[in-house]
Amino acid sequence: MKIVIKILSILIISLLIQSSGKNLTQNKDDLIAKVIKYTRWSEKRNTSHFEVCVIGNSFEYYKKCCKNIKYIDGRKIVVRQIKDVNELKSAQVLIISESEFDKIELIIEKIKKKDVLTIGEAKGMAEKGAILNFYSVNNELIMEINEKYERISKIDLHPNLFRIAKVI
Amino acid sequence: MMIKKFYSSIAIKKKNLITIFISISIAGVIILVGLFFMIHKSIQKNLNERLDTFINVVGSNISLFIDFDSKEEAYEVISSAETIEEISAILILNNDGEKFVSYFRNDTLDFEPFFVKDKPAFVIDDNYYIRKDIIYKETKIGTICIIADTEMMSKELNGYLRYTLIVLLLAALFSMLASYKLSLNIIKPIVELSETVKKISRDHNYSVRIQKHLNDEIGELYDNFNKMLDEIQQKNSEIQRFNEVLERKVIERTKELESAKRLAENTSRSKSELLANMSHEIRTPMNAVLGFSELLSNQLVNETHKSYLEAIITSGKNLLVLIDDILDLSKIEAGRFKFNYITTNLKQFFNEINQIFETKVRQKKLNYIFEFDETLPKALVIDEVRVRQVIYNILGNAVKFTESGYIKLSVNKETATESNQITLKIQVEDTGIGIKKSAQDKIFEPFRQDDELQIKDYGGTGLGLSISKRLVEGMNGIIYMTSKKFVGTTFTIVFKDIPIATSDMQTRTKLIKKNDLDFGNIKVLIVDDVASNRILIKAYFTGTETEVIQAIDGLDAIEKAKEHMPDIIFMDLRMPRLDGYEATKKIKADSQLSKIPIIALTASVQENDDILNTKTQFDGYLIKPIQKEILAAEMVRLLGNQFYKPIENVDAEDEDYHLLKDDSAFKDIEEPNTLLMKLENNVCNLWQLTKKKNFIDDYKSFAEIIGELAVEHKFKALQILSEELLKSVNNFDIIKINDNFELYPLLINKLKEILNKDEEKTTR
Repeated sequence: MKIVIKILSILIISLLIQSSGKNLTQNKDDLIAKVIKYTRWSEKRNTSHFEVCVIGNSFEYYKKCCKNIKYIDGRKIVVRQIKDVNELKSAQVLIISESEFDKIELIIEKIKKKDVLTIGEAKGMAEKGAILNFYSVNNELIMEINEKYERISKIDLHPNLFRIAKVI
Repeated sequence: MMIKKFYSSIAIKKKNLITIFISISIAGVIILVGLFFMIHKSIQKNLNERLDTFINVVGSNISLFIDFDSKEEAYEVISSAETIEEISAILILNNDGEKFVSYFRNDTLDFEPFFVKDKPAFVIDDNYYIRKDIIYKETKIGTICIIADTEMMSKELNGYLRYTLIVLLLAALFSMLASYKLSLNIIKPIVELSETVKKISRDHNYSVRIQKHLNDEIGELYDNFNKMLDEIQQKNSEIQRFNEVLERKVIERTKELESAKRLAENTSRSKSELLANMSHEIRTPMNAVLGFSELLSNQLVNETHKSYLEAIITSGKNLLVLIDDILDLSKIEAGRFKFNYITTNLKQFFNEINQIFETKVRQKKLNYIFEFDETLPKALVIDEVRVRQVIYNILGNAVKFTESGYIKLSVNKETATESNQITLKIQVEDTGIGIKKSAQDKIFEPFRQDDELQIKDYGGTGLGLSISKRLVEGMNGIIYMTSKKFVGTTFTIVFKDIPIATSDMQTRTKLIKKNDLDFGNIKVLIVDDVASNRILIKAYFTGTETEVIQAIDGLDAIEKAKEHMPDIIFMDLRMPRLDGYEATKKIKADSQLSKIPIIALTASVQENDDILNTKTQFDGYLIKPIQKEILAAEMVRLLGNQFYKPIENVDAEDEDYHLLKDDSAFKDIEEPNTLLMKLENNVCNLWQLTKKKNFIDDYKSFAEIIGELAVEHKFKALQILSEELLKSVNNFDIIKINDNFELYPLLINKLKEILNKDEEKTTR
């Protein structure tokens, strides 16, 4: 009974949720933290820290942002800048700066099947393979999700994220 | 109490139904209440689970929207509650406790209680309020508050209860039907058993047996009942047999008892006859023995012979007293003693007693004290003869057993139940030898005396107190005594409820007093085998015109009666050849003689009763020795007084005077000098001895002895004196005993005077 009600509830909720994208009023750094909260990695890393790598020139921005967050899933956030995707190693999140727009496809190609959440920060980066993409249009923050690459990757985003994000 | 009474009075069938109904009702209510709570709890639990699940699902779905501040999506999530009927409203609070989004099925509801109350769950007005935190990855995202309507739960509960009630009612109905059917199976045999018992009880037919239908406990009961009937029937048969045997035995025993009773009656009759014979056969010769002993005493000179003769006389007298006492006792114990209650002047009655006893007491140098309650009524209705006999006996004993000190007679009264009655209390107190404690209880038993006393020292038969006790009890009285050895004795006699006489007249019967029986020219037939008896009666008619005919037995009497046709017959009872009973029967059967009145002459008290009690044909009876005035009275009664002119209103003093003045009574004496010698010597000695001893039995003996001499010598005056003395002795009339007794020396002087005169005449 309990299970039936649960399944029914999920189905009903799922039906109600439309993948219509949504303009978000929150800060980008908060949003990234919240998205990470609702993301599930398939591999459990035996590290005491949660590694976020930034490729491109926006490292400082995110380093600053993450100072406010400090911990995710009980693990300390470590923000590291990489120049090449091969330096990624045990990182769980890869933020691809707008400066790397042209290299994004190459970057994605290398890690698309890995257990890494890729986040873009410019319009069109989702179409190029970033699982998540945040960018502002008229001071409104837009969140996009590339459903295809989300499925290819080993990570799982919370279904409701699709409800509030623009699904590519 | 009422219920218990009603329950005990109704039939088992109804009782059973009521019991089943009540039991099932109680069980139903208990089950219903139990089920109510159980179902209520279950429904609530179910609701809680559902709500819990919903909250979890909503929580996991809405947390992201809260985090991302997406109210629209959040509302859509909580709107899914539409599918859950119980949920009336949902409120989502963010982590800061601010309202994030809400959902209402019913707009009237208010979330205010969630902000007022701090409890996770509570109920207000059929609404169930539940609050839970929304947690995602161990982090509180917000709070979900749900208001659930319990109406649905109530409806569900009611539905369950209704269903349960129907099920219960059906179960109860089925149970009742089953129980009723089962009870019928039990009750029916019991009713059948009851009917059988009733039938057996009504018809007393123990051969009836109850038919067994079942093999269960009831069947066993039937078997046992039938077994019991078998045993009862068997026992009944045994009892019947036993009863028959018992009945036969009872009949046999009854016959034996009747036979024993007849034997006892015969024995009793034999005893009575023996006593009568003793009275008759002993008294008559004893009178002769004593009389002739007295006469012989005068002629004896040898002192030893005289002492022998004295012993014979004393023993003879004692024997006569003993016989009288035994007869008295026998008569009292047989309940045939008749009391003669007459009006008695109480003061005069006790004065008479005092007179005789004062003398006797003084002779023993004792003090005589008499106390009389002056408030006592003047006259009471008592049997003065028997009361006097009792007092005389008690006082006589007091005198006999007291050697120093005093004797006190006191007469008092006690209040009686009726106003016209009193209780008379008479006490005799002495300072005599007393009676020891162990003997006191037996003192009133016949032939009992103080064991330490020697009868020969004091005399007496040992019957006096026994007779006194019976006489007192016969007169509705009691007698008791207190005594202390060597200190004295007090006898108390209490006569209860004695009637107070309305007149104090002395009604003592005055008998006809006359020296001669002058009935004129009539014929009297005297029938007696003892010549002296005939001579005595004949002497009464001496000097009259009455012709006296004598017969020696019954046969002679019949012949003489036919020959002389007498006007009256005096018939002795015990005679040879033909006794008085048979002779009277034959005379009364003779048509010529049947009208002649016949008076029985008897020496036995027993015979008196026989004459009165049996259907004999005697017209009256006289007790020997025959007293002249009684004889005259009886003749007047039977013949009428046309022949007899009695002298009325002659008192005792006049009578005595007349006796001494009547010279005719001193005439025609046979051998007067011999008689005088006897009277002056032996009889005079006896007179003095009697006076000295002052015992009533001695007075009686003295009267009988002078009576015998009077008959022998045809001395009328002496005969009259003897009769008067005997009469006063028999009546215990102490004054008259004294008066008559004191006449004896005067009578001798008179006789001497007359003889001297006659001698002088002869000498001239």
